[in-house]
Amino acid sequence: MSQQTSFDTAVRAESTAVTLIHTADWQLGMRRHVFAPETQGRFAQDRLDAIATLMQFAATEQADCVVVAGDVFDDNLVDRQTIIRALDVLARAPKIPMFLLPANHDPLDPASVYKTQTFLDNCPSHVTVLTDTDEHEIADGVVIVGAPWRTRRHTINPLSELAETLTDDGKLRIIVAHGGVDTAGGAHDTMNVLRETDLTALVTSKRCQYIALGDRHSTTQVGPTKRVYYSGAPEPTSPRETDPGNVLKVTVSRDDIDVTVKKVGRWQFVNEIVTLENDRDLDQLITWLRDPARDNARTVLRLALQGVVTLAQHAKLTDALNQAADVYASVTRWQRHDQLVIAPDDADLDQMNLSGFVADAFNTLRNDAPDDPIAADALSLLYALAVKADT
Amino acid sequence: MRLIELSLHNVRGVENRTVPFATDTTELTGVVIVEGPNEAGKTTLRDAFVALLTYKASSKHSDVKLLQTSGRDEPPGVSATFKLGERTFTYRKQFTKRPTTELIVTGTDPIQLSGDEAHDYVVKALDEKLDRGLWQALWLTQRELATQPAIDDARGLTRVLDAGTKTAAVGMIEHAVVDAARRHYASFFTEKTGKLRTELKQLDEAYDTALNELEQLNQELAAVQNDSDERDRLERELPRLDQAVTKAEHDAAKARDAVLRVTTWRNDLRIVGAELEAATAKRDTLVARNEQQQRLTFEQSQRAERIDVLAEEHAAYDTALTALAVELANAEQARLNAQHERDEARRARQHADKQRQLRQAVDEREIITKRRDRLIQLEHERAQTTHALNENPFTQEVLEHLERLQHAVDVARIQQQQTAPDVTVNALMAFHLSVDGIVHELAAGDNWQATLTTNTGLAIGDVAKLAITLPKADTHNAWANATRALDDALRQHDVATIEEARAKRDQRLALSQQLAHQSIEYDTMLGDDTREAIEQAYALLDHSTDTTGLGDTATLDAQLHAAREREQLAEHAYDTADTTERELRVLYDAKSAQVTTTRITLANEQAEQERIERELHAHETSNDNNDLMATLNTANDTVTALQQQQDVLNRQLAEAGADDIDALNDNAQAVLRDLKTARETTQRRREQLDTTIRVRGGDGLFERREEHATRCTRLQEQRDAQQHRAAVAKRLYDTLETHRGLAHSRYIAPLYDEILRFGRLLYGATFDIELNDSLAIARRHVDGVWLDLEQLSAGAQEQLALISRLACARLLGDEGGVVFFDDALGHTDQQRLERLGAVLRLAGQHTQLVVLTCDGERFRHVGGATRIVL
Repeated sequence: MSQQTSFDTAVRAESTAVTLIHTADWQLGMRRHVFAPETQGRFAQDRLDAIATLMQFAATEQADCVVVAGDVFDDNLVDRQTIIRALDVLARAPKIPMFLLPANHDPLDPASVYKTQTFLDNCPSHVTVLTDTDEHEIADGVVIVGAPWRTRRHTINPLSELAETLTDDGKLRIIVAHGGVDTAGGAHDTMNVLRETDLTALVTSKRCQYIALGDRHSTTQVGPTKRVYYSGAPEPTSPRETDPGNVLKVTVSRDDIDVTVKKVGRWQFVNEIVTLENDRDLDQLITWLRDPARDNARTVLRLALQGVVTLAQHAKLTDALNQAADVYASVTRWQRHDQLVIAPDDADLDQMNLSGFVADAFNTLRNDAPDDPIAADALSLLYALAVKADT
Repeated sequence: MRLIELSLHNVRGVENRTVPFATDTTELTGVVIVEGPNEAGKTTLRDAFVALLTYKASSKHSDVKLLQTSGRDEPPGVSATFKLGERTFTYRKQFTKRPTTELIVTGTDPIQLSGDEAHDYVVKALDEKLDRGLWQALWLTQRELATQPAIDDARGLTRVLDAGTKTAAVGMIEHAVVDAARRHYASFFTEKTGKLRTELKQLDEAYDTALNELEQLNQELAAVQNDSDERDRLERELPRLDQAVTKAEHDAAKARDAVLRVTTWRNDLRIVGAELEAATAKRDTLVARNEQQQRLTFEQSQRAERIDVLAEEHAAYDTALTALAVELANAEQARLNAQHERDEARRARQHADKQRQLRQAVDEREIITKRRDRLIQLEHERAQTTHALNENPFTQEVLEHLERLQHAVDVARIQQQQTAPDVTVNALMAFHLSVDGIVHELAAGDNWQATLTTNTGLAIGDVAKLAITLPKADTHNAWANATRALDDALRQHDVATIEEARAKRDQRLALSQQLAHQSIEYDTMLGDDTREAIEQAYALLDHSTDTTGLGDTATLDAQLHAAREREQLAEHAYDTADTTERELRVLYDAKSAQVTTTRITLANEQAEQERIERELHAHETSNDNNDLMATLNTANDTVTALQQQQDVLNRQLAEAGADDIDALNDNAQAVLRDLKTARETTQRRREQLDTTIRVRGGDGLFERREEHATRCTRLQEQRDAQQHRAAVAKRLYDTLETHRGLAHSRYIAPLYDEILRFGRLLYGATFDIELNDSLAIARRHVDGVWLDLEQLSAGAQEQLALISRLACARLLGDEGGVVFFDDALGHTDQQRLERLGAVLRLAGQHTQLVVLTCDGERFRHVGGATRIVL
């Protein structure tokens, strides 16, 4: 009897294809320390909006389910309000089956956010937390299997343990897992790192048909099979991320797979190195800063300035940066690459119209400025005061 | 500007006066000394010149009113000819009534003007050429004798100094920049102390507080994480503990079975042991009882023999004791008799002793009394002899002295008899007698005639008629002197002749010998004693002793000797009797003790014998006495059987290793207990951790920590930004201040050099100064001593005030005006005045100096000066 059932399931699965939305690393409750309170609020709200967007996308695409491959919350000890607001977004979203995987940021330890009364009381019915490796059938012969993290520091990735128990039983099996892969930036992890070859073997042996991975915030294909992916985070969180802000629409069957990238994030973290040598360079930078096409309020800009500017140019640059700071989510100087030198020219001197000992002081500061940032800024201050006095 | 001529008309009592300040209009520098008594109008010249250049002719200014001559109606008029640049101005004003202004300018651009137009023209020309504020500041009056000129804001001087520094001085922009930089600095630092302002400190404190809070949250978060880690470890530990407990339970059960088996054997062994112990005890009791009976029987026979021996000994001792008692009584009586005789002889000898001692005391009393009496007598005799000696002064020396005098008389007489007298008499009534060269004035009536006759044998007649020369007066005089000396000596010793003196000398010699004899006897009588000791011995004598019937010494000595011999014999007899008695008593006591001991021992032995007999009788009358040995044999058999049974059980326990089994079982049970405890502890700890983690983790700790971290970051950024801004402000401010100080030094250099030049001329090569920000002299140095201006004397301050002005005037050169010194240098001594002459002359080479003074002598050292006497 059981053999017959297994055979029937296999027959059905052979002809079944499902569409799922793969997302991960929401890390709700995350804060960026460089943000002002108002920016932080916007950042948090936009991350919730991204979830709403992806859920709407899932509905539009008539997805069979949504899988979140770990790190839904930034930590188990997030605020009650964060839990409620997240679940409220899910409750308002289309009622598509959704599977949440506890991972290293929110493991299933005694403090697990998924065990809190707040979560249990507010969790919508279409949302399932993958607390074990049981299979969740979402369609005939189609199962979702999670490899949840029970602690922050597993010595062996739960997926590795799960893989040993799987066989090709004809089901369309989708694994939801979390952790670094040796060929996708995870080699630095000495513990619990997954090997790409193992993952490839898992799908080529048809023990599973798709592995939805989380941990890496950039959308990344793992291995050549197109059946193993990092979806990346729906909103970027760091300038180091190469392709964040996406979710994946995955249509998978035992024989075929189609993965589509969908942009849902609105924020961007920008690192920019700009060389300033003349007025034209400065004007270009100012124009770039004021680019109307950019959503500046959601842009975190880290700017490294190099080259040489006059005092007048520096004053103009300072004004432009001050204005940008008011508009952008954040504007900071990239100290590691910042090499801007202030070198007053004759025009500066003419404009300042200094004489006597004030002119001597100016020359002293000008000599010190190349090697001394304080002197450089003092020079700029003197320039500003002189120009103001002259007017 | 150079003043050529100044005329006053009806100004402050000066009706008409024209003062030529320069005769040669091409040489308009130099010193002009205007000399005149008080109220001659010296100061009026200066005031009139100022009024001419400053006020309109119609001005009602008090300075103008003061020009008016009191009590006169005529308006004051002032006219001056001066040179301004290359042009010569002839300028005249009549003030108050009918105000008039006239101006004629010659040279380039000549012009002639009148009225206010002329006034305005002059004012404008002056302002273009010189700084009038500075110009007048350089003037020195008596009121300003010690003050430094107010020149720091002087436009003209600034221009000169700027030119000297070859650096344009700061202008409005620079002032604004410096002020703004200072204000900017002051927004971060306190200006007085340069410390950070409170706002910045508060930012720093806020950051530290936030950092502490963050650290606390980090610790809380770490605690949750630690709990979670520990819980994971416990979770893994529990299955291992379960397995260990199961295995320990199995081991414990096996060990317990082994112990039960051994316990049964041990119980059997304990029972057998108890039975063996009882049987052994019973047997031992029987053996002891048998041995006791045999011992008593033996002891009874032994003791009976000993009692018989003791009874015989006691009888023998008793007999001997009785004989010793009789012998002891006889010895005691003999000793009593001897004792009586000894006491009698002792009393007789004591009486003889007393009689003999009495005799000796009486004899000694008589000796002492006689000795004392003789000493008293000798003392009296010696006193008499000493008195007689004291009454006779004719010692051998005295006698020899008298005999020498007698001899001198005899010799002088012989010499006189052998030579003729040499006597000269010059006399009338009163005449001079010269004897041996000594002239005597003799009055009439003296008995000189007899004297002369006696000495010379010459009969002298009427003295008034005689003039006799005695040629041998010397020998006569010598004889007379010797005779007189002898007579004086005899008279002094109260004798008539030398023979009488000789007899008294012999008498004194006899007394001396008598006194010596008396002293020898006295010392002999005294012996080694002192006179006081003899008196004390005499005082202690008993003079009341009755010596009636007391025999002589020999008799008493014979009686004493006989008494002593009797006493010795009695003592010996007594000692012999006493020794005999003692020896007998010792023997008696020993024998008596022997008898007593024997008697007691015998009694004890007899009592013990009776007890043994009673005990034996008790044994013999007991019921089981007949079955004792049989019972003893049975008990021995029982003991042997039980010992064999015990050996078997011990062998079984040894073969089973009973001690090890106990230890193994004990350990197995302990291990089981420990493991169960560990499992319970682990379970409880896991439950505790579950609770702790849930409680700690339920309040959004992570996000609160993140929120604090954000706050810390922002506070740090703010603080760093503020500190950076403060550092920038400080850097700019410090740099400006540094260069301002340097510029100041450069700026004042020309003025400093000029003052130094004049000062060294006045004070010598060691002169130096410090100028303050107002370009005034703040300190002066001379000969190694720096003094503040206020510390200097009035004269020195006055001199420094003068050379400061001269230095400014010299710097200004053509751009300066004529400089007035009005009654200056009133405190300056003559030596300095001489040097000041050179200073003024040097200054006058580049400027026009007008010295107004009432004492022209004070400035006579100014060489080449033009002197005007009012």
